[in-house]
Amino acid sequence: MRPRILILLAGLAAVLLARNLYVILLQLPDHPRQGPLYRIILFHVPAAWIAFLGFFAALVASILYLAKRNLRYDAFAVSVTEVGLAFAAANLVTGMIWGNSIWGTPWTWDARLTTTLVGCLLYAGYLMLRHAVEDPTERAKNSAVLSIIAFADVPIIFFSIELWRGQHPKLEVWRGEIVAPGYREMLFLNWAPLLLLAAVFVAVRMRQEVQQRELEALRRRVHAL
Amino acid sequence: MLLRYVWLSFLQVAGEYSPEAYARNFRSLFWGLLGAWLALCAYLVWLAARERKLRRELESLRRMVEEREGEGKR
Repeated sequence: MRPRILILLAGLAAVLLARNLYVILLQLPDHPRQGPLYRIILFHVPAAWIAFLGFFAALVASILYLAKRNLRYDAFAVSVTEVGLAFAAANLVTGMIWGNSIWGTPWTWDARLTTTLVGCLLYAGYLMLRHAVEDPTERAKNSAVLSIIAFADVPIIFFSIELWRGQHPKLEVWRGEIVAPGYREMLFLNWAPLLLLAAVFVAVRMRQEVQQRELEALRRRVHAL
Repeated sequence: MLLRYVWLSFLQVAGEYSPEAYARNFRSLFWGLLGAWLALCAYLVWLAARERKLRRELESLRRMVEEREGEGKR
């Protein structure tokens, strides 16, 4: 995608996020017990959705790479994994700050928190593995296998609240049971520009992956000359 | 000015909370939002730095290949 289009999309996402921030801070009502801090779910939850979506896209791209051996799928897989991990980090940070105020501690070994941390470590391992292998096809093959294995944690994260009793609250978005009015709509309205921002990050990261491959080819050529 | 407006608007809707509890709660929200945005901005800065480094390395390698190929022809 052309840089100008990417800048335009990033600008659009920024405008929408600024507008959302205004509505979130000044127009939405407070939670009856948690006060203004409840607003943090409007970033915490969309960030988790984007991270899940990124990891799912990485799974699909990794399977496609193993089936077709096309390095474009590998470039896409690493891009969405990295962006997904950045959003997972944002999700963890917002959750810890919320927990510190509501639970009195930023971290508990609750099933949802622990499985999310395990997922982040698995995907961080995926990115570290890529630095450890020099041969591009070997690197793509090994990391595709690891990406498929790492994805096994994602459904566990998603269903951890049902599987184990923990402290993490369950968000009933689909049944419309979010406490205060306006929050459900804003959850999706804030998710859209964050997703747009994530798509821009993925496009930039994919272009870098192509440049990286060109760089490796040039290095080999320099050594051969 | 804008921050003061935001703060006053919050105080107006504070209702049943004590000002101290509300301020503490609001502070947590502030740090939460800041944390989320810092995580994403840190990634953006890292992406930009990587882009610069890649471009620089590509340029220098392309120049090196041209020079070496030129020497080979001579």
